[in-house]
Amino acid sequence: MVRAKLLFVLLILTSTLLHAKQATPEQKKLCSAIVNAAHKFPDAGQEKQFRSILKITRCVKCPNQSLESSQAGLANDLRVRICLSVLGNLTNQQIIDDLVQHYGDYILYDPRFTPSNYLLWLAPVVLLLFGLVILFINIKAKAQAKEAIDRIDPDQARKLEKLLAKNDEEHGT
Amino acid sequence: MKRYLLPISIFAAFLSLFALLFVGLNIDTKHVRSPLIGKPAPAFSAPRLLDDTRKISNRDFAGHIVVLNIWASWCTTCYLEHPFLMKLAQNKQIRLYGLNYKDTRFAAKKMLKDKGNPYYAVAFDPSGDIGIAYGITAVPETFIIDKQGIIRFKHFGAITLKVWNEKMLPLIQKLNR
Repeated sequence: MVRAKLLFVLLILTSTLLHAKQATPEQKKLCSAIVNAAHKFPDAGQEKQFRSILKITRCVKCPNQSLESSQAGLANDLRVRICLSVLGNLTNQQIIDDLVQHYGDYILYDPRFTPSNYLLWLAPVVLLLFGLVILFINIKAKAQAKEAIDRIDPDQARKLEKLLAKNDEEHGT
Repeated sequence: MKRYLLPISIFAAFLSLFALLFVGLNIDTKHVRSPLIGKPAPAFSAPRLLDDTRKISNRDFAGHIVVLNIWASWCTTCYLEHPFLMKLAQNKQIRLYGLNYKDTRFAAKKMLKDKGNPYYAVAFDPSGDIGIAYGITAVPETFIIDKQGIIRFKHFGAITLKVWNEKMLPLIQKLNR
């Protein structure tokens, strides 16, 4: 546990330093040009990576817009941050982890499988199981009732069926 | 009795679903819990607003209960919050630090000169990088950081008397014990 905590502190330190220190003024200039659509990445793969991340991330200031479409100042700053990460050759996962670390899962449009949304992910499965159990109990009860009818003699069976029919009429089931 | 069991349970299931959805209506989806709560305050080092020859970093927070207020002179809500911060500056249990976010030194200094300076010290963050490290979505926002440098609380928007009395003050008293 202590080791995990230490690791986390290191992670935060390094990632903060990564962004603050590693970006050169040229990179910052390039990224502000890219973000303002005045320029493209020199590398087509990086351009693609950058665009793909903007599509799946939320503008935390205006939640119904992605970072790709938002005009908010903060969205612009986050685009620059992502751009610098791309130029720094970080993987998609590293870039997303960096955003999540500061803004939480909220910044992602695609909810991840984490303890806070286990309920969301597992509810369909649980409900399906619940339905199956009810279905099974019903089928079994019906089968047992039929078996019981089969076991009695024909006279009694006819009487019983009449009674059941009457009962159904009265209660409309 | 037994034949009412199924309808009643279905009704109960629907009722609880409605209750769930109703509760969902009142959840503040815009101001979600910060992932930084319970974690160390993100590291930073920045020049001070009022003395650019000196730096300020998260290490300066150590050993004090810090109220870190993120503000800017262009933020109108910050003007509304300002009188309260002036009162807060008198509180001996805490150290009120400021983070001046995406501002110019001139405008920020002018605001403090005109309205008064409630802060023990102010970090100057014109690029907004430190703001992003702290996961801010708008100004003002306020953090409470304990003596060990762990973020314990975050408030979005101007601090209201209600939030101060019900959440912030009790937390500060608890941390001070």
